Amino acid sequence: MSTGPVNPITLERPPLSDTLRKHSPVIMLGTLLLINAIFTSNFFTIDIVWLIIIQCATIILTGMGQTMVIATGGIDISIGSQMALAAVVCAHMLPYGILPAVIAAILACAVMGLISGFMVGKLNVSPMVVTLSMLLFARGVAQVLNDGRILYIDQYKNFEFLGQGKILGELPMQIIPIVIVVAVVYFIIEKTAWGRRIQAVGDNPTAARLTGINATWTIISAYVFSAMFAAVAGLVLVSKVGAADGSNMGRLAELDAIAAVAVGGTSMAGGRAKVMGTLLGAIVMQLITITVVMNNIQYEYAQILKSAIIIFAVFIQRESRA
Amino acid sequence: MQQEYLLEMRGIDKAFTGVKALTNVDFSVKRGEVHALMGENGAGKSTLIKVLTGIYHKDAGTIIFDGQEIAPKTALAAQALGISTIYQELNLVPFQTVYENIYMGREPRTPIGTIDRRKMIHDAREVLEGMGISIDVQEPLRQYSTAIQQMVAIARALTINAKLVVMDEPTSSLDAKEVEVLFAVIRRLREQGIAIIFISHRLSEIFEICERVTVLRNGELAGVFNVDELDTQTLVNCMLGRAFTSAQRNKGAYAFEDAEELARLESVSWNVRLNGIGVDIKKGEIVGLAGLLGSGRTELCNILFGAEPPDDGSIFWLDQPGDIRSPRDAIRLGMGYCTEDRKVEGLFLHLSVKDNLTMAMLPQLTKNGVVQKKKQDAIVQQYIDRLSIKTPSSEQLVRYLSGGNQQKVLLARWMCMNPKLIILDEPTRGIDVGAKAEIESLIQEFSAAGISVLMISSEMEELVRNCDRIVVMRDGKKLGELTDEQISMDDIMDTISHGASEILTAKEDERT
Amino acid sequence: MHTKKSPVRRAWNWFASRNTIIAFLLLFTVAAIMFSNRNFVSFNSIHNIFRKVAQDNGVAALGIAFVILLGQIDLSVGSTLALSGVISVLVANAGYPLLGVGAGIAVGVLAGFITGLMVAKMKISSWIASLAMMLALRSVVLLITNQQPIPLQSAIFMDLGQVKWFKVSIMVYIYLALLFISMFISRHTRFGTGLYAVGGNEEAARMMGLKVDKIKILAYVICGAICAVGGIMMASRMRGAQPLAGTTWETYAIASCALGGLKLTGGEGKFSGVFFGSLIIAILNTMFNYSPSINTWWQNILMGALVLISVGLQTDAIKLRLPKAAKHTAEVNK
Repeated sequence: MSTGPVNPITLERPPLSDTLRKHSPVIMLGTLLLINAIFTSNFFTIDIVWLIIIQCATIILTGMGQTMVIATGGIDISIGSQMALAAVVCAHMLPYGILPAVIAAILACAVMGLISGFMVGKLNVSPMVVTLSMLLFARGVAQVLNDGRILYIDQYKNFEFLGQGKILGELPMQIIPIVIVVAVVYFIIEKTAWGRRIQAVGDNPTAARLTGINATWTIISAYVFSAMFAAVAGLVLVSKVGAADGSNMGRLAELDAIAAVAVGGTSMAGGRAKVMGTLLGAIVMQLITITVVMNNIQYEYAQILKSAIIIFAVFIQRESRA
Repeated sequence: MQQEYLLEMRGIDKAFTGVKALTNVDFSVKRGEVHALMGENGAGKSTLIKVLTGIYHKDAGTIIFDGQEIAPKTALAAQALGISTIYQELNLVPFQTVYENIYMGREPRTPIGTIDRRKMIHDAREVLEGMGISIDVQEPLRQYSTAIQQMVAIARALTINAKLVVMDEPTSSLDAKEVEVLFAVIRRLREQGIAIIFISHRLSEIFEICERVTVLRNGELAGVFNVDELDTQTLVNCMLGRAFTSAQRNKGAYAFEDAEELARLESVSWNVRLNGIGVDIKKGEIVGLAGLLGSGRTELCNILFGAEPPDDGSIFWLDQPGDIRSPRDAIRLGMGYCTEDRKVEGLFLHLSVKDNLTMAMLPQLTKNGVVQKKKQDAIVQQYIDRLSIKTPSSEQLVRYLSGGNQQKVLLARWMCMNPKLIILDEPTRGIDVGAKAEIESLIQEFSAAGISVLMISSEMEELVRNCDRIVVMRDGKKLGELTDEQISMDDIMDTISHGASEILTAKEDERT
Repeated sequence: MHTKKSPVRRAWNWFASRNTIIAFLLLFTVAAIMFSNRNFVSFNSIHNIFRKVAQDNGVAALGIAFVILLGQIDLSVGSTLALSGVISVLVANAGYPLLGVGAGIAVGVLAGFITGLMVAKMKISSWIASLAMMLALRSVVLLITNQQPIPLQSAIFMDLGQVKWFKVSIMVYIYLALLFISMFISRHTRFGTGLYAVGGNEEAARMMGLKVDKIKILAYVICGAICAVGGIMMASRMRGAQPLAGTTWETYAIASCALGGLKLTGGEGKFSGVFFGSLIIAILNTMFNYSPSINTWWQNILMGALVLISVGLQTDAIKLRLPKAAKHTAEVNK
């Protein structure tokens, strides 16, 4: 049955909700800075900037990967476990040198990402279910690999420098992976054909197929890269902390990553990816944590706030998609 | 005291933000009558039914049902009044059993408040047997064919004490035997005094089972006929209309008799929609696919483009077997496909004009994985200019463009690939007149440049104006081909009608 | 026309309820043989398995089953459980043990209601809504408990958990009661058939006049309530509220349902299946406990893999779901 006359959408200006959504990360950032200016003493010091860079590194890294996955219309809630896995693999491989350790860690997570991507892309299983199981699976592998103990890597001063050192005076080392990963993902999304395909698959899978895009490979590649970035995040974390705790590292890292992406303006339903938005979103998430901690409020309040923010961001997006 | 007419709809108006869907439509159904409602795409059939069944609210007019004036506000309200609808998608729950589906939402209860399954099973069996169907009602619905599932939907309507049953394209996925079963049930319903609104475009069926026909065209009442006094010619003429000025044809004589063949489909069957059809396309030719709704035209294009594998038959490209297993294969051979519903299947609404335009062409614009911006921008600008696409910039999200410009973007996507064959499914639907003319002249340009075009349009004049050859389809079969002087509205409609008549006479022969 | 059942489809049917029972029996026999030296087939051992089901994620599995039948999910079952336990302990410690039980259940109902509202009315994907809920509730638990367990001070509450009738723990009875209530609801009430309808074909359910939103919300409320009972049971058994109670239980709950024949897309499966699915997991757990060589960490790996496999096998069935009019249903009519 025909659905009646066709009404073309003829909008001259985007609706208000779209504009709000587009600028939400900046608005939130501004609000947070304002709140801190008023309530937090000693906020506007250079040390805070260093702190943000150090602590935000993991969110930014995982957020970048998550941006790619969400752009394909999926989601990956196993990245926290992948971080732990990377840390543990790295700790085990450090005796053979830094480079083998790093490569092994990234490879291990890439395999996890491959499995997830395959099940989502080829078997069409819901991404949530797949990555939920992967969350357990990867965590289990990490725990088995370190026997439930915490592995200390104090003796590898070279490696630890990566996480605790400073360059150019006071600038924390974390700035390097941050800059590299953000640049890489930005480049992929904005400049490569692969990035175009990722967004096409998320926006309209049917049309993507009719345009000759191989959705399966596109999706798999997104999950593999997300896993690899999670691995890097794990490496950054373990080098800073000096220890690999397979059981507890990275728990709830997914929350920050997803919230960063949602706040950053990438639609949770897939499509257009806003890399810089995610970067801003990650900073916002970290700022929430810092604000709460510096004002002696319990961290759990921040978590509740972040959960609410995710709901809010998704809700707003639903409206503007209608 | 019962009136003759169970349903009388008078002067129904319905508009949607500026577009008038129904204008002063009258529609009435007698008791125990099987009444056909016909009309092409956009004629207003579905709108009228949705007004009747409470899904839409009419702007003006009255509805009198069983002697009372009604104005149902919801589908449930209409149901409570005795108007039931059997949808094309059936709207049943396949995992549940037959009897559960029949009583879903209204399960009878035992004195203690639990569901009375024994009663449900017993009553379900009774209803179905009353329709002449005897099946195991305790099996899950999905064990049964669509035909039987439809019976279950009808049974459900009966248990809700329907006085009027609307059947929306009930035969679209039934084979000949199943159709007979359905018709037997319809006759039984008729005997019980239940009226049926039969929406279909299979002319042969209309003539077989219905008593009267109402035809809508462009939102207006085009005619009401008694089937006894009706011939197919009149019916088709009424549906397709002769209200337009006869389409101008500026084409020369048919020049493709000896042209090289580009693509050919042979004996293609798919589902119930395509039945051993064969179509060929020559280089540089504009071939139109004409037919009523449901004739299988879109399905044919889907198969040619590799979006669906055929159940039977083969595709040839340049006289070689074409191994087309996915759209990518088709694109590589040199095909492009503008789908029927550009928003659902064609465009990436939240991406930019630039992205949409160059999405299929990406492999050619990419070096080492990186998109070459200058080259991409140049092509985008070239086609924006060439097609006069109105957009503030190439970064504009495509969802903000008007329908006509969206269609142009979709066209440009394939044009920039320099294809050998462009498949267009309703390329000018929902587009203003100016853009329509532009697109039509583009199609002629393709042909002049040696690009073949396969075109589906439900607007006959469009096909008449533009095509070198028209293939007329019905029920997944080819009825005939028209070229040159043969191409006119009359001749197209003739072919459709005569094709239908042939099927009709065949059925009559069967019966005698 | 007759469809050939693909091997994947056949493998999936293997997981349907009736076959879950066979799987369970098989597993049981294997375990009995493997651990015959430990008297696997003894009253104690079997009772332990049932107790495991009742105490661990069996209850969560029952709750989540309601939501899975709808075609949705509720990742917050573990957190709801924990929060209910905490609230009930706090109220009981204040001197009102009975009110404590009521308060705990109220918490579960409220949590379920909020989640249901987000899914039904705000149309937020149930995965995201319940994920956020899971995190938020867990944070509330951690806040209230200050990350430390809260010891029970109410003797009655504590004793309640230790009761045994005919040498069978009261927990088992409560679980069985919940199981039978769930089976009853799903089979003998209009809400039950409504669940299957909405899960099977939401659009059709709407067109048939079912109050889809109400059914969705009610399913979440029931899930919350059942989890609350589980949380209270746990608080009683552990003699206090645990801040980390129920972590990762949502995955086990989903696994129980998937193994038990519930399709994650909704509309299919029986509660009896959920029961046997939980039993399978309980036996696997027991087998792990009895094998000192296998690390408990392997459980995570196994669970993750199990869910992946059982869900992956479901996928073939998805394509055969709805008989759209355009598609030819290939099954022969009887």
